[in-house]
Order: sequence, then C-alpha cells, then structure tokens
Amino acid sequence: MGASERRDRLLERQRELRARHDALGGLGVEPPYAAEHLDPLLAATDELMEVVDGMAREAARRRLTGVFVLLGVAAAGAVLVAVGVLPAYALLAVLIVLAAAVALWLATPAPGTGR
Amino acid sequence: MSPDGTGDIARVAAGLRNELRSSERKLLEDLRRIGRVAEKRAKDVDARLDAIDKRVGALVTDQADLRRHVQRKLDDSGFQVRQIEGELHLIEGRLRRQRGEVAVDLDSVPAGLGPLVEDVREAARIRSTMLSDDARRACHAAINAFEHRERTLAETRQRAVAASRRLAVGKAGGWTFRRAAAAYRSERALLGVQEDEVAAARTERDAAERDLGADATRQQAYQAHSGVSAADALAAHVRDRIDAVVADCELFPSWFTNRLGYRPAPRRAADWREAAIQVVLYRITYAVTDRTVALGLRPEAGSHRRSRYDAVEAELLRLDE
Repeated sequence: MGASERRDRLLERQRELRARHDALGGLGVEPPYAAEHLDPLLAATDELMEVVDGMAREAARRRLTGVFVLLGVAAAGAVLVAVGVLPAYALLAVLIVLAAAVALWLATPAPGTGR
Repeated sequence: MSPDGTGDIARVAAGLRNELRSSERKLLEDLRRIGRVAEKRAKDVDARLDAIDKRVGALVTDQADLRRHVQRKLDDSGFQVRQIEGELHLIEGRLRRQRGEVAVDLDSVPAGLGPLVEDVREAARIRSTMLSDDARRACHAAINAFEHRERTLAETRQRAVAASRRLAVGKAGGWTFRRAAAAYRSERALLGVQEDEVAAARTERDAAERDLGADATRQQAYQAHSGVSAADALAAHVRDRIDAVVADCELFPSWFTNRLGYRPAPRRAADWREAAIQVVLYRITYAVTDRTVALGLRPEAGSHRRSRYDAVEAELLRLDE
C-alpha cells in the first residue's frame, strides 16, 4: 500500500470518526457516556488508530533504511580515507554522516507506541 | 603651757592609745572565739539534723515494708477465706446431697413456658442468620468500591472521547494529531483494564446487594418476631427462679457454682443476679447442657452466638474483679 493511499485512508477514517462524533452530539448524549453510545465511536477511533499505527510503522521502516544508508555512506567514506583516495579532513564529513545516522535512529519511534 | 605639762599630756595620750589597742585586740579575739563557737554549734545542729533525717527515712522505709507485708497478709487471708468458704459450701453441698436434697434444675422451664422458650430460640436462630457488623461493612465497602471504579472508568472514557475528538478534527500527521494519538492509545489501554475491573467489581457489588437485601428481610423478621419480647418474659421467670433458690437456700447446680459460687457476694448481689440471669438465659436459648462449664464450648468466631457468649463472659469477669 502506497503512502498516498494510506493518507487517503487516514482522511477517510478521520471523516468517518468526525461523523460519529457529530452523531453522538446529535443524540444529545453528555458525559458520563454509556458504553453502548461509546462503542461505535471507540471502534471508529480504533480503526483510525490502526491506520495511524500502520503509517507510523511505515515511517519507522523508512527511517531505519535511511539509518543503514547513512551508516553505509559513513563506512565507505572511512574506507576511502583509509586507502588514501579521500583526504584526511573528509573524516569530518564521515563523522557528521555518522552523527546524522545516530540522530535519525534515536528519532525513530518504537513500533506501536507512536513515540 | 610648761614643758612638764606637755610631757604629761603626751604620756597620758600614749597610755590611752595603748589601752585602746589592747581593748581592740581583746574585742577581736572575743569575736573570733564567738565565730568559732557559732560554727561549731552549727555543725553540731547539722549533724543532728542529718541523723534525724536518717531516722525518719528508715522509719518511712520500715512503714512501707510493713504496709506491703500487711497487704500481702490480707491478700493471703482473703484468698484463704475464699478457699475456706468454697470448701464450706462444698461440704454443705455434700451434706445436703447426702440428706437427699438435689440441686435445682435451672436448665428446664415449666411446661407452660415451653412455647416462650421455642419463640426465644427461633428469634435467636433468625438473629444468627443475620449479617454481622463486619460482614455488613464489607458489603457496603464492595458497593462503594464498585461506584468508585465506575466513576474512574467514566473519567477515563471522557478522556478517551476527548482524545478521539481531537483525532477527528486535528490535521492528520500534525503535532496536535500525534499528541492526541498518543493520549488515545494510553487511555484506550487504561479503559480495557478498568472495564475488566468494573466487571469484577460489579459481580461483587451484585452479591453484596443481594446479601444486604436478604439481611434487611431477616432484620425485619427478627424485629417482628415475638421471641424478642418473649426473651424479657423468660428473663423475668429466670430472675424469680434464682431469687427463690437464694431465698430458700436451695442447692445450685455444679455448672452454676463453678462460675458464680453458691451465694451472691453481699455487696454485689444485684450484679451477681444479673450475671446469673444472663448465664441461665444463654444456656436455655442455646440448649447448653454441659454439667461443668456454665456456657459450654466457645462458639466459632464471627457468629452472633459468639458475640453473646463474649458478652456474658465479660459480665462474669467484671463480677470477679
């Protein structure tokens, strides 16, 4: 499933959820909510969260791929400096790439937590 | 003035000066002597006071020892008197039994009072099925716990709905949307746990309400039962019976004398009689037939019979004090 397709699905679920909230408001139901009024609403929210989690998993996978690419670039740069193809000050760029890889890895949320 | 006159005056002056000096020395010596004497006397008085103090202290100690000794002797004498009294009562009981007298039967009631006793026993049976105070408190606690859990669940639901609303109206992927997603995730997990807890608490609450309902019915039945007022009539009968036994110098049974003695203590006759009535009523109500132990075996803890047993025991202990 592509990213745009996921986004369309997310928007569709969001519209559906909004409609559920409007319906709940239309019923004139006020807190504390009874379980029978909330079940459809929570089910719609759960469906939306499934899409959100799917997108988060996809984003995490992409970020991890980015991390590995950056680590590969840093390793290749280090090897090239070691064999003398690149000058020594290119190590600075290698370090910057390495730091970017670590930062990207740290910013990748754990699956299912959204953090 | 002639030179002889001047010389005379000088001599007289010197003589007077010498006399004054010798008087001064004498006075000083007298003062020192008086001081020494006064000091010596003060020391003597101090020593005498110390000796008196010691004597008074020894007297106080002796008096305290004497008081303790007398008290101990009095206690021993009291104990021996009670023992002798018990022995005398025992001998008296044996002699009277040998003469053909039999101990009164306090456990049985006249045939006319049979229905009264049955009423009292039925009331006691209903009372024994009622919840104890602890059990009633536990039921109320279960109901309160359920209400508390339900309130907590309603609050969590409200927070979950608020997060869901933010998810519905927020810009997808935006900061607010992501925060709402995180909030909804945690509230949803909490909701699942709390729903399980409320379901378990509801079962307990239902059981507690059933128990309290049944207890209320039993309470009404107990209060409306004729056995409650019949207990007073039975107590009056027992009182008359005990009074008659004491007045006629009849023999009390052994289970009675083991706990209450043969006669009421002169100064506590009223308390003695009330305790005796409670013991006899307990035996009649719960059909205790033990020949040695007045209240029979100790009932199991938590029952109404046990609380009544403890109350009668407490009354008997107060009598022993």
